[in-house]
Amino acid sequence: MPEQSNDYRVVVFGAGGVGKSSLVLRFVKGTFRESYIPTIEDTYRQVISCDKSICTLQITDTTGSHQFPAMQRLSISKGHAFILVYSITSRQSLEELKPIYEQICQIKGDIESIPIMLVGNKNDENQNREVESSEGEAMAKKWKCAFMETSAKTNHNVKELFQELLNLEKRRTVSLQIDGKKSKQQKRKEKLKGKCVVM
Amino acid sequence: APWVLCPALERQGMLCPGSALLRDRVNALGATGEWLGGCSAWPLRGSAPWKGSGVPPQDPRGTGAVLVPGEGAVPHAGTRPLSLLDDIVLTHSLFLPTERFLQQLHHPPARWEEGSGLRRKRAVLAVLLHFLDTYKGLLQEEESAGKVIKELYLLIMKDTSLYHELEDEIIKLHQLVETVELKPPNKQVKPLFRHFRRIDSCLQTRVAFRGSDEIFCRVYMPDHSYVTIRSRLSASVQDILASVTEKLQYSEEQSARGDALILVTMASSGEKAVLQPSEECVFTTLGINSHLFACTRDTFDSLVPLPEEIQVVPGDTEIHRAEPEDVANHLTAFHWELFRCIHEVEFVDYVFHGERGRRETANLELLLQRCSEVQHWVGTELLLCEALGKRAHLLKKLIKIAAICKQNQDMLSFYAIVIGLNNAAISRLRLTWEKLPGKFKNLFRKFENLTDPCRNHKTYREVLAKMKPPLIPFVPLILKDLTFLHEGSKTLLDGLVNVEKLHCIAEKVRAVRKYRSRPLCLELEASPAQLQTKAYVRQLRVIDNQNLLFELSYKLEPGSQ
Repeated sequence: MPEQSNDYRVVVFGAGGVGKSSLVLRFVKGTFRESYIPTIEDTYRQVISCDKSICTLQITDTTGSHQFPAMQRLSISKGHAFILVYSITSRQSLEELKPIYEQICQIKGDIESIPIMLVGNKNDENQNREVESSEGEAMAKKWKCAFMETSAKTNHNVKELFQELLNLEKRRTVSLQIDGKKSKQQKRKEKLKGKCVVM
Repeated sequence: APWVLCPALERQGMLCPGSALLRDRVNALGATGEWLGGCSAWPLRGSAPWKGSGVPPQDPRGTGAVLVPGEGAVPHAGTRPLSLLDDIVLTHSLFLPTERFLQQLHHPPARWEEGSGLRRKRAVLAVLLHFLDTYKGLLQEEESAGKVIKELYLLIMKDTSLYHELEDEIIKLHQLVETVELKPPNKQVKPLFRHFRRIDSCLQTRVAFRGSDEIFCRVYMPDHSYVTIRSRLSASVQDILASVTEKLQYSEEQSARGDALILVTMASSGEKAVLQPSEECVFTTLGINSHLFACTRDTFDSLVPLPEEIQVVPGDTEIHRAEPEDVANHLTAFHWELFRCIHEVEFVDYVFHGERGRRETANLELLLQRCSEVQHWVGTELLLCEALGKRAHLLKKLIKIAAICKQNQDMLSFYAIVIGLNNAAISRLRLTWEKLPGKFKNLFRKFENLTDPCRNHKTYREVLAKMKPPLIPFVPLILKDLTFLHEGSKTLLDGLVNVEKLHCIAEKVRAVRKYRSRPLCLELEASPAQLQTKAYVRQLRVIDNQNLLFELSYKLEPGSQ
């Protein structure tokens, strides 16, 4: 029977309409749409590198409504890392993350060893901003997690978000780059390129 | 007052000329001038117009008119004419869409005779009441039929003041129309339990699924990513694909380039099949561990099944802890719930759906699915049990469970367990069977005889005939009988309807009605241990891949046979 535990599971939580699916789809497929379809539970898979070998990154996009507490508990207990998304245009959406964060603490216990990223999405909509960056940062500090502002619409900080989250994982080395060695080679190439000035 | 319809029927000749019995029956009915003009075969000579969308033709002599409540007496309970009415109500969809059937009641009379008005109205009412009583909530799914009923209802209401004699019937009509119209307040979205088995509120009593119910369902991609879509149970493959395409933000160019998605069912064994865009209600027809996949035609060949869900945790499941009585009783209780959810008409529609626009038979399909789930459960549990002594003990327990199910008159669970134990991957476990006490070996031999299909399941049928309701029959056998009835005789011949066939089919349905005529009451405690057993029984996790079962079997007892 194939082993499942090799997968690295990231779960995305947040209130309805903050852009969880948009972030995930922007990252996985590189697309963005304005239309809103409430999510129930979707999971996308991508190959990443993990401890110098290949593993699957599973990103689970969850529902924003609180209809399915059992499903939420299950995703938390199975997840390795979490993305908590709010919209910078809605203070309420930041408030709604609190019970989710508490639930993660409850189920996971040792919260500091678990990669968690607090994300303020929709930062392209600065004119409607309700939550300042500093507030997000303060909350992240309180929750002992990382923080970032993103925009799925303008593709701002999306890839960085996932890379940063994986960097937070200290128990194994996970990276979006499929081959760790290759990336070193690439870096070297880039270094070389940097030194070569084409006249 | 045009709601009485259709003049007396003219006898147009009969089908099945060889059948003396049939002729006797017809004569008997005709002589007493009873229901439906005493016809055995309904003339459909002017059948051509039925194909169109127009109203059935007006034929002054009534040759085109079909459903004719005769001018005779209103049927009395228990008499043959009532059963004839019941036959027609249950099976009319074989030759006449429900909507048309109802229009017959609505049709203005070609010949209006003042004197016979009341009797005819009473007859129409009797047909309508019986129809409503039989179909009930199912009619909420059928808009056009619902419309005809409403029109008819309004006409009848208009006339109420004229016919005080009909008061009782009309009160009944009020009640029935109300129950038909009454939609349950805020319908909940039901997760199709298979995909959410660990988290579904499985302890709740099951209620019937209807086509308009919204369900959640997972659709997988070739890389085993999945999206959960919300869909009507009756959704077509096309609708499902549209939701998936939208969710994945599949671009329009992609679909235009011919990379459009197709929907595929894939069993745990890797067997796969492409579903046609027009197919409907596919969710309940999937195999136990089958999943829906969306992919392009190019990627179809490379699809691989999801990894087996079940992890081999030897001998750690509830079955080893629970008492056989409790497991059996919870099986019976659950299967009774599922059996009760099946509408009578589903039996007819399941066998005949190829011919008419299909009505959902989801509840029947779920029961069939469950039946095969129980079969695989027996094998899975035994094969996941590594120690020989423990395995033999479990085998004994399962036989005991089958025995109690039989005592409970739950022949479905009984049959499923016996079939499961007869699976070649299990029956080849010689060492295990040898360790079974002689008493249980004999008992199982008896069970095998009871389920022996020889002489058309004679032994089982005899046992079943002796049982008094409530009981749960082995439903697949009913479907086999119905299929034989259907394929063995024509429904229409020379424009005549084979009423004898309808009668035989309706008899099968009435047998089901009888089995369920009394409630099944089992005394089940609500202690935590009991609830655990209940939850276990209601969400069995099974291996349905026969190859894998064989693999496990050979690993356990390589040398057997």
